[in-house]
Amino acid sequence: MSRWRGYILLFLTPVIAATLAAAPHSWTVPTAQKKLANGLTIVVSEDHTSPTFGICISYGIGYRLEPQGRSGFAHLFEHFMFQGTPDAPKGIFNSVIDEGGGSFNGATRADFTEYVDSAPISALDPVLWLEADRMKTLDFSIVNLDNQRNVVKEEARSTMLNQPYALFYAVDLPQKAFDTYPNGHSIIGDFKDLDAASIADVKAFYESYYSPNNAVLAIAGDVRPEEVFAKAERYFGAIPAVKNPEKPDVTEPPQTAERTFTQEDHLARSPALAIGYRMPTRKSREAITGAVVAELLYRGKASILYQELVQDKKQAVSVTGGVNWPLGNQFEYNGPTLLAAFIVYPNEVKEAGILVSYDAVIKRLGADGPTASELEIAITKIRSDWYGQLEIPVERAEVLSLATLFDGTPDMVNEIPDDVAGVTSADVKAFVTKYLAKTNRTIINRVPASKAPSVPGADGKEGR
Amino acid sequence: MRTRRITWSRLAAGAALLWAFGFPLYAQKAPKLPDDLPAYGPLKPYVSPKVTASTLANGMTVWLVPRPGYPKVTFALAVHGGLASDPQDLAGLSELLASSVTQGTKTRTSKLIAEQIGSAGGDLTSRADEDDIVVSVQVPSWKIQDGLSLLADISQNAAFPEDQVALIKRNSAEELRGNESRSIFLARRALAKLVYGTNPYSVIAPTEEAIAKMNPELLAQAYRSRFRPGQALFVAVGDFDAAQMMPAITRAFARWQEPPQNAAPPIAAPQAPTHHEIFVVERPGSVQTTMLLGGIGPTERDPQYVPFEVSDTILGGMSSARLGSNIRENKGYSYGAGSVLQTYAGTALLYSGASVRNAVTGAAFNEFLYELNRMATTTARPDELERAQRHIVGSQALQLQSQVELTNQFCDLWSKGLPTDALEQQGAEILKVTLDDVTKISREYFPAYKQTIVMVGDKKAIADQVAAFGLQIEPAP
Repeated sequence: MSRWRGYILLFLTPVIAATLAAAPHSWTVPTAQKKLANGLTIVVSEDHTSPTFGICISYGIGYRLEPQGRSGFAHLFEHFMFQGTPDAPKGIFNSVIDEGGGSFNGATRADFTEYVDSAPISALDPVLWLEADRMKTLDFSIVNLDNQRNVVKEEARSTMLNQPYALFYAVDLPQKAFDTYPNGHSIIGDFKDLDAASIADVKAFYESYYSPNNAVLAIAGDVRPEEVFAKAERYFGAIPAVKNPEKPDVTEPPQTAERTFTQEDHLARSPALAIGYRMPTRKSREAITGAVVAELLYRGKASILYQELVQDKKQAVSVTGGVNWPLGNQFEYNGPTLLAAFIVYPNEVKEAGILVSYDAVIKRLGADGPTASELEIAITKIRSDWYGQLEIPVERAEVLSLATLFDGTPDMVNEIPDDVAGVTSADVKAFVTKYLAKTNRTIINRVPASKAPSVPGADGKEGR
Repeated sequence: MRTRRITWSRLAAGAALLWAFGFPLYAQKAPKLPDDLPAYGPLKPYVSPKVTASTLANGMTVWLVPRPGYPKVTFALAVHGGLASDPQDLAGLSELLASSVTQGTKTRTSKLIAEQIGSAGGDLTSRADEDDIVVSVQVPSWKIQDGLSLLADISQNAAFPEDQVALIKRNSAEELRGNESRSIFLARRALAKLVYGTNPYSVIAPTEEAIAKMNPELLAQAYRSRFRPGQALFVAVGDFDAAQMMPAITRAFARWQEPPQNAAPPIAAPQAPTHHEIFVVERPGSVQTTMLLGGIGPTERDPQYVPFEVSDTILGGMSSARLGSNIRENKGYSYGAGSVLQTYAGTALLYSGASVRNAVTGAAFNEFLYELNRMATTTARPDELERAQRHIVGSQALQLQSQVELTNQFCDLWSKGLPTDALEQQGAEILKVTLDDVTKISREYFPAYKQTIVMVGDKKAIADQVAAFGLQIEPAP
């Protein structure tokens, strides 16, 4: 490796850079916050770069808290939110946003369900009206429920069951790594649980959780805060608050031993590993360090494992991963989560061989910590990515909405870059030693079906 | 228009199925609006950021697009010659060239490039599509010089180190195997082969044999003939000062010289095919059938293009379009059904499709035939036209919120020989399209009998259910 060339470049750079404008090295996103009398929190970020806006309404309910026997329900319910209301029957919501030139979506995650809309600014009033309308009540029709049951099952077939690897690092890994139902079950759920869901379930869920005092409305884009606060009062102000159910304790019993599993895959052509470690509590200094460790190990071509396993040893084809990954980012969760990795490797490489190399990297990182340059790259990348997700109005609205849902304020949006910059090599060593221990990890080895030996464990139900 | 165009790299990223057909929800008819729903504000066509175009002494085209605010800058270097310009026995050469060009120069190893881009907080990407190769770098605006130096070095001094080429070959082979396990890839590949026949646009990905033949010398040869200033565009979009940027670019690229050999000739226009069979790609054990029905449309330089895009949007290009409302929302056959319009310099490919569970393969196919023929034989409603127009203009504004997307769009304009203000012009033209225009163009392009049909799935499930349509079933090429 010719590291010296980098230094030559450093010497040359300032001479040339002197002719280019010096820009500020950080960036602050404007935020303004207000709470309506009914408990609905409004957050606004003004930005006139594009004649557009993005909106995110997040509700403090996700699949972690859906009842046993109703796995997949929070997600099914998210679909139901698009099925119309008494005032705006099915189809109105979609055609108004479509016709306004906008787009919309919903997402269900462990600790929240969010509804996002993006549109030209000319559609601001109709979009706010539609969001308020479905916070008041829904069209609780069994036809809609049955139809969305099918759509959700097709979604599962399209995105998981009919895809190689079937998202096993997102769906199966938490089930193996956690012991309790809230943290271990999958977002899609069992088809039989979906079939069991009734209109009464839908209504009770809506009435318990979909209230203004359990929601945060964030808007970013071509708007002014006072204008948005006034419109929010007009459209949402009359919706009554509701007493939401107490949040249950979702703490996990501690993990004491490594867990390993093998699964077969009928569509994948190459084997793959999913590796998960249980993470510390969100926003703790350890959790911030965890985000840096994930960046160091798993993310991008400069990452240590990419360089070691893909580039140098040629034992892997790809390495990806992260905290609360892939169904969320490293700062947006509010309960037990994993630092997860997904590593695809060639058929001719043995699982044991790749794990020896993997373990050596972890051991080295725990003992020596990252090099100054590795740490700088990881921190710079997280900060740059953090700014990156604040570019598009709807994505900025999402960040603001979720931060405020978890913390009561959107301040995290401007704090994360500094928090991350404060992580030291000693923090990394301590984190790796404590959390990347074998006793804190779960591994699934997923192999192409035709090559898998017919032995116990090959169905993924038993350990090796 | 470019806003609905997708590049192969996106499909390969695995998001294809969701992107292509994953529309969230649908409505069948224009329902009566609630009385107290507020009206839209006036619809404004997109206002493009101003482009300052110039040409360096060596022939390189430079487009500068300052856009203050978001503290990053995106640079892209586009060169003519992509998958459609690859030699027949080296299909997909461009993809390997795009992957390897960023993996080392005469003075930077692959690892050093990764470290430099990392310590600049930047992203370095490269891609090949049918007509071009594009290398781009995004950096925070306080790291402009790092990004510029790196891109200039890659454009002029790529070294194709033996070990990196070997790694890319292996990864390409793995990626191909991965893609071949995805039904949407198999469907797209078969459709392109059938629609384009012997025309070079028929190739959308490398073949296993071609990957095996690649070596550093072949890649370096292709690099020398394609990476040339006279066939290159350099674009900068973002938070910078144009007056300071231009001298920096001139300095970074001043030594780049046009090579002696001739540039590749343009691709000949493809002929529309006539296929009346159902071509099946066997995927044993598949729980779904992926069906595509597609054909050739007008290029973006053709006056027919704008009405064509509007018509396609009515058929399947938005979530409340006909295909989605019928096949997903009313019948529940699919997670999403829609149409995709891919435009290239010399052609456009339009296809409708969905992935449906095996049991409704025949029923869903019937609905596709019905919706295509309905477009071709009846007139759309005025509200469908207006919704499509608002949708296209609005989604363009949304897409161009992103600096990287805006940069991609400028590369694309250049690739297709469109003017720098085309983003703005096309938006205005969309609003002029009439119902007559839609009817006329749909009659020409949408009849079901003109479509080439591909189905990927379990052949037994397909054969039984499509027998009633009287179409011959053939294995796909």
